[in-house]
Amino acid sequence: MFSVSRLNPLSRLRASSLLRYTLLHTAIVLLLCGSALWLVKVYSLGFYQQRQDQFVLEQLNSLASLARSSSESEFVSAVRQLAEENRQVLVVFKSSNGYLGNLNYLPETVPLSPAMGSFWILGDSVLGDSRFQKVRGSRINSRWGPLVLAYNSSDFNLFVSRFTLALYTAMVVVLLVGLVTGFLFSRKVLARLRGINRVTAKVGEGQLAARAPVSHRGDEFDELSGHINHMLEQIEDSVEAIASVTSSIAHDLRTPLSRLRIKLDGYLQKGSAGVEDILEAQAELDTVLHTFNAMLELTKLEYGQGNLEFARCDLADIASKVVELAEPLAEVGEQSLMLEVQQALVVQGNHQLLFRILFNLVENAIKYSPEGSEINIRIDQDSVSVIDQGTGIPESEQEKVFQRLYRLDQSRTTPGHGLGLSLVKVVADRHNARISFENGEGFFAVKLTFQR
Amino acid sequence: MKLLVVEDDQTTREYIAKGFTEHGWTVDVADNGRDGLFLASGENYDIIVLDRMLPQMEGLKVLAALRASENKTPVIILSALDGVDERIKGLKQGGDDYLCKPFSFGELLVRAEILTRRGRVETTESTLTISDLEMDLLSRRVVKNQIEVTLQPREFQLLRFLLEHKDQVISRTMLFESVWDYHFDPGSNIIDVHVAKLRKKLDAAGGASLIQTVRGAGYVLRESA
Repeated sequence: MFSVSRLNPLSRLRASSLLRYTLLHTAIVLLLCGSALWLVKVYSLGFYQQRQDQFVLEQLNSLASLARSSSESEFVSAVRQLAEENRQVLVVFKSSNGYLGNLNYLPETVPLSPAMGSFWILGDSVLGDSRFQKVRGSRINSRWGPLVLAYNSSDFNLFVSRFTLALYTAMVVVLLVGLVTGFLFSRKVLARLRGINRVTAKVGEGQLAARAPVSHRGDEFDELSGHINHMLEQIEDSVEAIASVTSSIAHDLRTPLSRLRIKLDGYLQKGSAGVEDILEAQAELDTVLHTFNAMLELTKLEYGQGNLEFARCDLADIASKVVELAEPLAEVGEQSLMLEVQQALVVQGNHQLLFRILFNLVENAIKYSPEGSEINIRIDQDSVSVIDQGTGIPESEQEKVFQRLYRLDQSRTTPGHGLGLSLVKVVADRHNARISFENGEGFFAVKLTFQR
Repeated sequence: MKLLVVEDDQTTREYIAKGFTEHGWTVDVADNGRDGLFLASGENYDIIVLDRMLPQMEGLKVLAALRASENKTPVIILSALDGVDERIKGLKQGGDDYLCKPFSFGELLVRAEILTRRGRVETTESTLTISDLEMDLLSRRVVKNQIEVTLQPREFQLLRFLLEHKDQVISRTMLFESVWDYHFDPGSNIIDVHVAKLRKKLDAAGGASLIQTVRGAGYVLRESA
């Protein structure tokens, strides 16, 4: 038998679906959250940056037109005013008298408007922040000299860095939550599988009473457990039946076998055995063999061994043959045997077996009905009934009469081995027929109803 | 008459061999399937009694091999496998009769005798007689002690079977199988009741009672000694 528990812990972990499912689950969650956050970042920050770029270019446009229409001193004062008043922009203008504005150099890498480019500044001087920062700007070459205008993005940068931090934190949280939920989820799923596995292992060891756990959710696991349990019940029933048949055989055969032994002992002591003695012993042995064969046959039939040949069987035809066979038996007790066919009944079945059980029922009726009474076989569109005027079977006993070797107290004294009704039941089952009893005023009926 | 017994159980084998020898048969034995097939193919037997569960070669395989080689010797399968399906299997494979263990020697002998007689001309006879009993198969009339006896169809078949096997002890099972064509052990005394009824009708005509009960075995139709 294959067993996971034989592997070492590491291989066991690797072999476990728990780990694989957890990791897979986490990876999927991480990927989804990551993509979502990345999209948020790209769209929101991108939009913000676009607006900044637009603002920078508008400012540059107005400065360029100012440069064309004004004198140098007017332009210089406008630039100075912009640098001092508008905290949103950084501006540097290289005039003939040197650098003017927020910065003390003109970044050469910045492209001409409307292209935008970024450059690094040490924020200390203008931004009150001692870090290097990246800003985006553009350049115009005005009549009075080159000018670079950039957006003061220290707030934005701070926002971006916070945003990124939040993003990474979120990813870590997602990772952790993913791992934990994945683990818990997989464990839950696998715990149910393990439950089922434990049960099958137990059954493998011979504990047939083990049952797979079934919750009330009715999901696939419950379905699986249900099927397994049903299977186990069937197996258990079979095993029990075999055990009970075995013990009944042992019980029921022990009596005649001991009698036989006693008889043989007697012959031994006498020193000889006459023909009569031997015949008695033989009859005893025949009883044993008969019971034995009957039980074996029942078990075989019940557990579907041997394919029965099924053909169309006309029950009226079978019943008339039964009547013909049983009639002399009824005549002994001056009983009359009647066949009443109300409607033809043809079923798929095994002729021999149907004959046997019908004969069994009629024979029982003959055996247990008073002298001079009437026994009726009635056939209608879906059932065959054997109706007699005997005392019948008390309702409390009706379930038990199908048990192997069960005999009503009143019938203990009549010959028979207590297997007749068991056979009727087994054969009825194999023909999908239902057996019912009816205890009426002065009559008793056993009815076999066939499914159409 | 020459018989081959293929049976691995020594007691059973010797019991059968002894019984047939006592009845004037020549008996060969084999204790496994392969030897059995070898003997069966080489010699000319009137009957082969074949067990099913045999060492070296299973009984049904022996039978199949025999039938495949066009050997038509009648075979009685003798087996502890007694289900209806097992019987059908055995007969389909080419067995001529199927007897379940435990069996009575008398029954085996009768079955063997019936099989050897099969194929001989006997159907030309239209009347069967024993003592003062006469059965006309064509007019279906039975006369006992010169008095006509009216029989039910089944009683007629029963008497005919007994007449065809007069002086042979017929078991209840054999009667039930041959006359009623049902293959199960009816268990009760139903056959006895039928035979008793038939006997009563015959005896009513007077003359000697011909149907005799053999305790522990069955019935025999014979002129009383």
